[in-house]
Amino acid sequence: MNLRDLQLSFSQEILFGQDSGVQPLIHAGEFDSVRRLQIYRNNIRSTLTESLQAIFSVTEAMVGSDYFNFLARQYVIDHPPEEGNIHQFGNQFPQYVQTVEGLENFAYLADIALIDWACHTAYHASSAPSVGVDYLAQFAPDEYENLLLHQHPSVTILSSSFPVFDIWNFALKLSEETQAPDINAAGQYVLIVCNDLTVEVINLERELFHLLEMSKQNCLLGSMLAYIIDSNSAYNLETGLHKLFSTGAISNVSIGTDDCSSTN
Amino acid sequence: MSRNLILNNSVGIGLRAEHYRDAISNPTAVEWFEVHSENYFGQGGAPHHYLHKVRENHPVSFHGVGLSLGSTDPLNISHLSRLKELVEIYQPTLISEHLSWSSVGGVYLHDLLPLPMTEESQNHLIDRIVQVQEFLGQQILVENASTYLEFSHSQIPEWEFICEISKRSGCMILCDVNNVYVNSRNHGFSAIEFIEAIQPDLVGEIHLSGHTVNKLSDGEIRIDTHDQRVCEEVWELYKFAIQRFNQAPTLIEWDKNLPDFSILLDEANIARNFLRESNRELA
Repeated sequence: MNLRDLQLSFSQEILFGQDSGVQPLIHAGEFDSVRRLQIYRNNIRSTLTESLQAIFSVTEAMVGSDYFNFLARQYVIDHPPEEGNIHQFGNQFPQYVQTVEGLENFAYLADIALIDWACHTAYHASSAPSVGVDYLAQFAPDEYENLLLHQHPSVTILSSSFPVFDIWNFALKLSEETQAPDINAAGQYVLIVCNDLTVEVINLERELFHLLEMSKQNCLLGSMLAYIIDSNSAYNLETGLHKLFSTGAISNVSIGTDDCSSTN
Repeated sequence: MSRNLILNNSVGIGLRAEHYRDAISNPTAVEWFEVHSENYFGQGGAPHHYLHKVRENHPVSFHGVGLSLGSTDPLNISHLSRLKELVEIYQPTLISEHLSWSSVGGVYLHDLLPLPMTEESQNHLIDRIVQVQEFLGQQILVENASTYLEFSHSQIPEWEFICEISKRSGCMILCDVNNVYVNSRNHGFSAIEFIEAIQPDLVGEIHLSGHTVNKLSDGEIRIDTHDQRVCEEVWELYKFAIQRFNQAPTLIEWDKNLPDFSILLDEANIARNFLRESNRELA
C-alpha cells in the first residue's frame, strides 16, 4: 500500500471505525493492531472534544459533560476539522446543535452555542481601540447625519427569540437569580465584544441591535436614527448613542456616503 | 539576555496562555520561550498582546503542530502563509514542526500520526521540508514524534530515517528526548543507541516533557501526554543527550493539567543543573 492509500485508510479507520485494510500493515508486537489504533482514536477524540469544551463552555455547562461529550463525538464525525489551526474547529457546532434529535425542547441551546463561538472569535479578533461618544464632538452638528460608525473587529450581534442573555447569565451563575429564566419570555438581543483583552456579553436594546446591524451595512447615522425613530418614536436617541458607545463596540467614526442596502 | 539568540546551554519554557502574566512579570526567570504557532493564527487579542510583551525581553521559538508535514495532501499554503506572516512579525529564532502527518483528504485529525519508515516517506518528507524552507526563507527543525505503533513494511530505523531527512533537506533535528525514550519502550530499542546514532551537528534543539505509563493486563504502553514532570529515566537519557549534542538549547514542554509556573521553572532549573554538570565534566 502506498503512503497516500495508507493515510486515507488510517484516517477512515480512526474517524469512522471502518476496517479499511490498515490493520494488517501494523506490527502487532505486545498488543494487537486494534488496541494500537484505539490509542490514536482516543487521543484524537480527546483533543477535539477538549477543544470544543474550551470554546463551548457555557453550552457544556447547560447540557452536562456526558451529553456534551456525546454531541462532540457526533460533531467530529459529521464535521471533521478542515483546518490545521484547531482554533477554527467548531465553527459549525451551533448550527449542528440545532439539528440534533432530542434537543427540540432546548431550541435556545443553539443561540447559547452561537454566543460561545462569538466569544471565542472575539478573543482572537484584531485588536483596535474603541471610541467613546465624546468622539462625535469633533464633527459639526450638520455632519452627524453623514457619519459612518465603524464597528470594533471583535463585534458579533445576535437576535434570539429566547431570553438568551438571561439564560447565559444563569448558566454562568452571573445573576443572583436562583430560579431558571422562563424560556417563553420575550427574546433578547446580545452584543459580544472584546474590550481591553476581556470578552464581554452585553444585553442590547432592540434599537441598538438594529443600529449595529445597519452600521455593518455602511448605513449613515442619519438613516439609522430615522429608522429607529420610525419604529419607536419614544426612543431617546441621545441616551441610546451614549449606551452604544459605552459598550466599546465602535472603533472609529468617519464621514461617508450611504451604502445602506436595506432598512431591515 | 539577547532578544534574538537562543544559545546552547540555555533552557526555555513552552508558553501557554495560562502563564502569560507569569512570563512577563519576571522577565529574567526564563531565557527563552517557545509557543505553538497556531495559537497565534488569530489576528489579535490577548495571545498577540502577551506575545509582543514577551518578545520585548526574550527570544522565541515557533513550534508548529498543524502543518502536517508528512501528509500526502498538497502542502497547506494558507497555513504556511499565516506562519510566514507571524515569522515576519515576531522574528522567531527557531521554527520547528514534527516528522508526522495529521491530515489527509482535507480532513485534519489534530494528532501527530505515525509514518512508515520507508524510502517513500523519507523522500516525501524531504520534498515537503525543502518546500517549507523555501517558502519561509529559513531553515526549520523537525522533531521525532512519539508513536504507539510501527508499520510492518518499515525498512529504515527511526534514527537513520531522521538523519537522512536532515542531511538531504538541510533542516535541523529537534531531538525530543522524552519521545526517544517513549518509543524505545514502546517498540523495544535502545534509547542510548538512538542518541548515539544521531549526528551531533544536526541537532539544534532538545525537548523534554512528561509522559504517562498506561498499564494494561498484558503489558504497558507509554503515551506522550505532556502533563507531568519529566521522569527519572528521561533525565538520565537527557544527561547523555546534552553531552552528545553539545548542550543544544533545551525546552521544557507541558501542555495538559498545567501546573503553577513555578513548577516549570523548577523543571528548567533541573535541566540547567545537568547542563552545568555536563560542562564541568567537559572542562
